[in-house]
Amino acid sequence: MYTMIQAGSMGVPFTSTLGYAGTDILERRPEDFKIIENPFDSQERTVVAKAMNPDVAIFHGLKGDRLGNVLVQKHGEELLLAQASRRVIVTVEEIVNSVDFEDSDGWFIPAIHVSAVVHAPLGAHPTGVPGLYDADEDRINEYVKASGTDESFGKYLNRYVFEVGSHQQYLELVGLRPELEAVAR
Amino acid sequence: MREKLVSVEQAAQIVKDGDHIVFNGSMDWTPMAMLRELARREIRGITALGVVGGAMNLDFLLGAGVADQVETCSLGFGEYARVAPNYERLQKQGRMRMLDNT
Repeated sequence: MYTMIQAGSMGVPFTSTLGYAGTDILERRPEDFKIIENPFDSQERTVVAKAMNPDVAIFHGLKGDRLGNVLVQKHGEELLLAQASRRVIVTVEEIVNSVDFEDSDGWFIPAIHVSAVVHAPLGAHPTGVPGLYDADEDRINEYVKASGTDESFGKYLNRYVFEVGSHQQYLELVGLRPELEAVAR
Repeated sequence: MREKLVSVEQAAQIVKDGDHIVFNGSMDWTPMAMLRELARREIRGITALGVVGGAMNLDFLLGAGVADQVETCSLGFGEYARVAPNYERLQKQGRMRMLDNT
């Protein structure tokens, strides 16, 4: 799947990959995977997989500016996902005047790959952002427990999604204030 | 220069019913504020892609009825559960489609 996204990011129609050889994915999904003859060597066959160009990529990052430049976690796949996708939404902890492409806090993605930047402090909650805030273990455990039935997860959604109108109201509900929580900045 | 700084609500309008949405694989950095807004707007028919792997991102969209199909190589839940919990329930009940893709 990674090479399919890579192909999408490069604008080529498919990728040649041996990762699927011998699996039943080739039979089950002939619209996405095929075995073809190597055009450079008629003695060899290879698996090819269709390029992936998702409609949207969504991820959370550290910093963004009005033009759409963002800084995201180091060592992640965000740049590749942004290059492969048609529309890209990045929520960020902080809006700055201008994201510095040499900022060593994270990895830079230029505005050309970004459709929308959203200021969402603590926007990963209840998951964490390493270096800024920890995961909220109690609330993740509450989520897991609620996921047991439609009814209990429906109650969870009512409480944390439908009965709060905005991200700001969500932060108030869970008792978080961005200026106090992001201590490591 | 085009202004790209928008609200959560404005950004959610970029997402249409039936879209394929890709996420990175980690449990940390999950864009939950955005995902809660997609649930609030009752977006439907989403295919959620996890590269590499998925966690609360894919699981939340399944649980909220936003996604009915996922494609990824694994769907865990950090140290909190062996398998993403909404995925586990909905898959066992045959109410969603999982495409396994390494």
